[in-house]
Formats: sequence, C-alpha cells, structure tokens
Amino acid sequence: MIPILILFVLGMGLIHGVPILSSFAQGVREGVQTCLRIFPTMMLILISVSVFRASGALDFMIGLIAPVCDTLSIPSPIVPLVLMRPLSGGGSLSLCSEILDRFGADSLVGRIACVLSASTETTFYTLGIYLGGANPKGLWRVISAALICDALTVLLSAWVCNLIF
Amino acid sequence: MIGWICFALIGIGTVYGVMHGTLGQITEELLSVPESVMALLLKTGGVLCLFCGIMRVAEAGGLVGGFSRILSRPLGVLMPRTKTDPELLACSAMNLASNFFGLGNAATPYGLRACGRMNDGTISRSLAVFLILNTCSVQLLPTTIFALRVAEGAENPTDILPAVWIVQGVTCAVGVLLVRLMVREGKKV
Repeated sequence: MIPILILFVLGMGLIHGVPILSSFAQGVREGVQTCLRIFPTMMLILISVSVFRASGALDFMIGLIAPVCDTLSIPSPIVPLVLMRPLSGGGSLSLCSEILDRFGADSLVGRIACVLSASTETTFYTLGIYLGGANPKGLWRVISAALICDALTVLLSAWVCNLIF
Repeated sequence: MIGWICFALIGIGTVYGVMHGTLGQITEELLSVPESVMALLLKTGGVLCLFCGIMRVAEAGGLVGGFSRILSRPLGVLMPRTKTDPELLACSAMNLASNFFGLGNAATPYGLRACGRMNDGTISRSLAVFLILNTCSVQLLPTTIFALRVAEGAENPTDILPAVWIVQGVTCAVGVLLVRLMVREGKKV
C-alpha cells in the first residue's frame, strides 16, 4: 500500500513538472522542525504518565473502578486498558497485546480490547501535541467532551461486541 | 490545562509513592523515560519526516487540492473557518483523510499545521470539532490493530470491522454534537 502511494505521488509530481527533490527536501525539513516542536510536550506527558503508573496509583484506580465496570457488563481484564488508552498509545497497545495473549484474539474479551483500541485515540497525547503546549481558553470543554466520548467508546465496544459475537 | 493534568498525574503518583514506599520504582521508571522518548522520537520522527516529504510533493502535484475539493462541503459545515481559509481546508482535509485510511504518521504534520492556523488563544468551534475528530479516531482501517491481531493469530483479523465502524460512528457523532453545544464559533470566522 505505502510503496504504491509513494510511487503514485512521485509520478503525479513528475507529470505536473514538480521539482521532486527540492519539494521532498522542504517537506523533510518541516518534518524535522515538527519533531523538535513536539518533543518537549511529549517528554512532559510521557514522564507524568510514567510516574502515575510506576507509583501504583494507576493500579489502585483500576481496583476502584473495576466493580463499576462489572455492573456495566465491561469485563474486568479490559479495565487497565480503559484507563491506559487516553494516556499512552504504546502502553495501551502492549496492554491490548497482553489481553490477546491471555485470552486469544478470537475471544470476546480480546475482541472488545481490539474494538476499544481501534475506536479511540490517545486523547491527552493528541491534545497536548496538537496544541503544542499552548493553553487556549475553553480547552476544558474539549477535554471533557473527549473524555465523555472515551467513556462512551468503552461502553459501546463492550455492548456491540456482546451483540455481534 | 495540559500542564495541570501533568502536574496532577505527577502529584498523585508521588504522594501515592511516598505512602506506599514505591518512590524507588518511580525514580527508576522516571529516569528511563527520557531515553525511551528519544527512541520514540527517532523511530516515529523518521517516518514522520518521510511522510512530510512525500506529502509536500503530493501538494505541489495538485493531489491535495483534489481531496480538499471533495471534503470542502462537509468540512465547511463542521468547521466554519475552512470556508474562508483554503490552506486550513487543505490541512484539515489531508489530516482527516490520512487518519481515515489508517496512515496516522501522515496525519500528524497536517494536524499540527491545521491547529497552528486555528489556535489563536481561544477554542473556536472549528478547532474544537477538529480536535474531537482527532481524539475520537475516525479510522476506516485501523492498521495497527490489524497487525496486532494477525500477530496474535486471529482466525479472521478483520472481523471486528463492523463493530469498530458502529462504535466510531456513534462516538464521533456524539462528540461533534457535544462540542457544538459547548463551544461557540469565535467572532473571527
């Protein structure tokens, strides 16, 4: 898929008389600047999450919300993933693969974990990176809406999988 | 706001660590993070640069313009500012299209550019809708999860797709409705 895309783009560029090398180089330069711009935010967010996780506070919270999830018919092995998903993409991906290891990719729990992971993004990370550490007025509205959506995703993933599979 | 959230995470973690004697683990983990951030940056940054380069060529070749034209009408409704700002329209269109086809790395540079154009110190409705569409993940093909399911030996890795689409469709609709109710478009449109 990706090689074809690259070939297509370069070919279209050549047909339209685009100076391929200098356009490409300009893009790469912008990419490097982008990396430098998002690096500080990335560092702070990932450090905060690691402190929260390593202290055991995350596990404590998982224990707290597990009974609530149980009454909402969300299986308990999913709970760590639910809390990790908005915080860390890498962390939640490894949790998801752990779940698949333990229960199998075709189990109900495994499927719920996959649907959940595929239907939501790393909310805090995305917001932090996209706003570049800026703090526009009214951001809390977006954050609360995004978190409501995350919670809704968890409920729907469990319910839809129960219904379909 | 993001700063406060980070402060809260570190604060809760540290206090919990003092109470439960896990400060040592926290320190160890904390000091390993900068290294892994560097590694992450090198790993994803390289691919990000590649896509930035390719997308620049695509833009110069007129491919991006096509996408913008297709998406201009729905985006005009969702994000009013794209009607008066063609560059914003192009960046938003490319960001959403890349996400839609599961090319997250290609989406990031466009997302950053689009947000940079809209972020003037206040959350406008356009910016809020754009952020919600990005945090809710509008993805036709969730490539990472497919790869994971293949690796874990799923019999039919793509059989979760209908469920993913239903969940995504509902949450995105709810998210957009929510921010439309909560955030007004700024005076500058």
